[in-house]
Amino acid sequence: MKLLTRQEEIVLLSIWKLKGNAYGVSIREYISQVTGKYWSIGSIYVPLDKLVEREYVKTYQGKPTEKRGGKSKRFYEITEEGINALADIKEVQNMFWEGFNKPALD
Amino acid sequence: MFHNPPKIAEKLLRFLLRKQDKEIILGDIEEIYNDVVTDKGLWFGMLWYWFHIIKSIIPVIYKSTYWGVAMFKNYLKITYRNILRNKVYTFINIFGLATGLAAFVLITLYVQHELSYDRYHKNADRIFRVIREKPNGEAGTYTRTSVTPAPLAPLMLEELPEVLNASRLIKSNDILITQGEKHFVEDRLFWADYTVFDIFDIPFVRGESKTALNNPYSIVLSEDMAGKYFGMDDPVGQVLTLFENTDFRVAGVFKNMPANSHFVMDFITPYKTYFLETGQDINSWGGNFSYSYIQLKENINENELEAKFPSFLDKFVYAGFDIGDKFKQRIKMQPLTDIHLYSHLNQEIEANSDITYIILFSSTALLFLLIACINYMNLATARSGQRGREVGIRKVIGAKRQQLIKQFLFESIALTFISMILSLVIVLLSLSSFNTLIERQLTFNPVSNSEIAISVFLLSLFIGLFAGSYPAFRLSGFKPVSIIGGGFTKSAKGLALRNVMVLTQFTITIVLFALTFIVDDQVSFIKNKDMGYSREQIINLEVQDHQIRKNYQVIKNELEQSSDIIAISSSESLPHNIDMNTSLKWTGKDPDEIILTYYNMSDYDFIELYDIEILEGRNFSREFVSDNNGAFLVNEAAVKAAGWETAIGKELIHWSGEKANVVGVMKDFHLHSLHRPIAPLYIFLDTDDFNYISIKINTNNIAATTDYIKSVIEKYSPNYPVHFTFFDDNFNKIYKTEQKMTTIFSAFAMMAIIVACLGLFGLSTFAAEQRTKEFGIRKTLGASIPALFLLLSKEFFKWVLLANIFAWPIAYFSIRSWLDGFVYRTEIGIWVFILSGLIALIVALITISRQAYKAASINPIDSLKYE
Repeated sequence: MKLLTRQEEIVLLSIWKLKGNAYGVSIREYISQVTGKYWSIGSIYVPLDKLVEREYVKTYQGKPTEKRGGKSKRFYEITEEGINALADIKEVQNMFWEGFNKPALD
Repeated sequence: MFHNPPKIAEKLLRFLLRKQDKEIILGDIEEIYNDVVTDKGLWFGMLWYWFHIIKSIIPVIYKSTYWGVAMFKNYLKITYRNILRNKVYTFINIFGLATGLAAFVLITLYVQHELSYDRYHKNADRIFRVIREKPNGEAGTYTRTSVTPAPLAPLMLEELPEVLNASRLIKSNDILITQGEKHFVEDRLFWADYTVFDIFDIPFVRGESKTALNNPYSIVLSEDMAGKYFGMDDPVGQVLTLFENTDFRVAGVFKNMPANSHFVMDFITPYKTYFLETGQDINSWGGNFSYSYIQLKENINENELEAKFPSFLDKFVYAGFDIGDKFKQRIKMQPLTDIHLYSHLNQEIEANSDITYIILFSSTALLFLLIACINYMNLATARSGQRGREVGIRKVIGAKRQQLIKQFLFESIALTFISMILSLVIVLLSLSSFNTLIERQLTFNPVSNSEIAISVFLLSLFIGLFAGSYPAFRLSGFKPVSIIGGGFTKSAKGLALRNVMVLTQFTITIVLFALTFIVDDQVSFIKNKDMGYSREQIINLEVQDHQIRKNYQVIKNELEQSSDIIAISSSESLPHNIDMNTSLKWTGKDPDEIILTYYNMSDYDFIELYDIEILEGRNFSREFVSDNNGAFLVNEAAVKAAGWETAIGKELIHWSGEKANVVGVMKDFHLHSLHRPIAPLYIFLDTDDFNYISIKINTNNIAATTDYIKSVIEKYSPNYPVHFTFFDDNFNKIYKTEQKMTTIFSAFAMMAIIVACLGLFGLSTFAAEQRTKEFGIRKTLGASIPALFLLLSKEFFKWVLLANIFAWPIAYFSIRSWLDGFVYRTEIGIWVFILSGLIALIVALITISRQAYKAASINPIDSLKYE
């Protein structure tokens, strides 16, 4: 199996979560919201490219909107391979995390 | 509502983004931008947008420069290593290109200088010289002369509305100028109308140009002359004495006229004073000795003006005379800027150059440059084959094709730039000898002469790009496997072109060598030919001071005291250049018959001093009292032209009317250069009128003898500087052009052979590399080194030998017409061609042998191990 970087993993998960509404802006917003940190605009495009290259996601073109100066969106959709990859990651992580408990404060 | 992001920032972003994602990413960013604007307002949005753009640009720049510098350093290192690895090759290549570039720069400098003549005058395009065309009788042909009558220019100014200004100049030679103890003989003294300063740009350093020539006995002089006569003192108001007796007051000093003027003035005195001093009539149309310059008003069509000239002359000059049109003189205009290169009239102020030289020189420059460039590219291309493996490795390691292209272009341009710098050094080093050759004072400053600097820079860049393009684009396109795996073969394309190049270059080389030999042969023919007079140990003194003529007998007696002086003689002309002619007249001759004859006047000792042989009769002799009243000597040609049985006793009439008998017949000697046949000549015995004193000395202590002569002359001519020359030098002077041709041809021949060898070197390198494997196989099968050597050299000898076939007739026919210009000439021997061909062959052999030997002697294991 191929391991993904943390960034790629988060982006892939977001695409999965956002279902049909995953495109550049919404992905970044969602990630920033969940992680509570500022993600720079450029930060998601590199992982997105990698994911496309590995065929974990596929893209399709949306309709141009006025808000974007007449430019169309590119939507991302997770593929079968993507789901499998996520499953693999989860399994590996579970193995690593097993038995971990935050020590309670006395 | 949609807000457009800042335009420039968006453009920048567009530029940074990859092509395929551009629209999508731009769209995403605009969406976010619009959200920001909606939230925080337009201004904040704009700032936000800019902030993000700049933030993303910084790493882009950093990365590209960082890697750019790193790679650049690597390219530099590889270039350096390559130079070191192929020292000979690099040196030859760089040096060859530098030679070509240097020749180009030198010749361009010359051409630039020649084309710049007289253009520095502000009104150069409106200044014309008026010239005169004199009809040659009925023939309808005209003799063109640059001098005009004195009243012409003022009349044109007055009567032709197109003429804005006019000025006349008269030039005087050999003027003795005295200032205190200093006296010099000057050649560039002009008598000029004051308007000369309005028409030409002659800025004054001291004094006022408007008023300087008001006083008839005022004089203005150039800065150089001011320094020569007055040193650091202010010359204005001081006195210069001309002709030993006439004082002129200095009224101004003007800036030295630049060398690119068709005439240069050192002294200017008022035009009218010339007529006061000589007693001639300033209004006379009879004398032609003034140069007339006119300046036209703006926007005047010169052809229309010139068309008016015949009616202008009819109205003002020929009115009242009944002269047929055929016998009328005409006037024409010459643009000032054309004079230096296109004007070859009688009595030019200074000798002009010729546009054919410019064409000849510039085409040679271009030819050399072209050949040098092609050679450079050839050689560079041929050597690049060695770089295949490097390209392969680089590709495997991950070099992109673009990077390889960049590397090879960089390397190639770096080499051409080294050549460029070297060429500038060569130019600076050779400029002074080049100046001697072309008799100019050119200077070269690459900073101020930007035209040349830029063209050389662009040329180097272009050659670099072009020469580098083969390895850059071709090698970089190969698959690494095929290069490293050894399947990489060099293309044989362009081989035909290269062979033609070698053929052409060697043809040029052989032609130039043959020309050099033939011209040199003719020059030594001249030097060694028996001219019919002796040339050694004779000193000539040109007589400028009348005091010398007056005291000639005393001077002669005193000089004869010295035991080192063998003979002294006075004469009108020297025997190598007798140019005065008249019609031969004798008592009883048909007066209508014209027999052109040259004449000289001399004293009793002339014939003996110059060892001229007397065939019949006797020399002039003091023992014959009758000679006191005059006597003639004639040469064989004169006897023949006159049709006499014998000349002795014939009564000849000198051009001035004196009659006397012919006492002897001289053996024909060459009274002109060898370009001309021996013409009829008589020498009239005349001890009073002479221009030259000839002194024959023996070879003991020449310096002391010349000092003695000088001291005697100075005693009787204290004011004139004593200036004597050796007859041998005077003799050589009339063949200066021929000697210069030898120098130019041999320089060209040397350059041609350097260039041709470079071409050959490139070609043999290329061929040797291409056939390495073939040679390896041949060797394993038993071929010997000499056989292989021959095999490879044969290929090139073929072309060099073929070049002979082309070169010989070209050389023969191009030099034939030059040689035909001499009535007395050497024969073109076949040895000239054989020698030229042989030189080319030997040099070619040396050039090839290194590569051929290397290829033939290589161990087959090395050449075949990659199979």
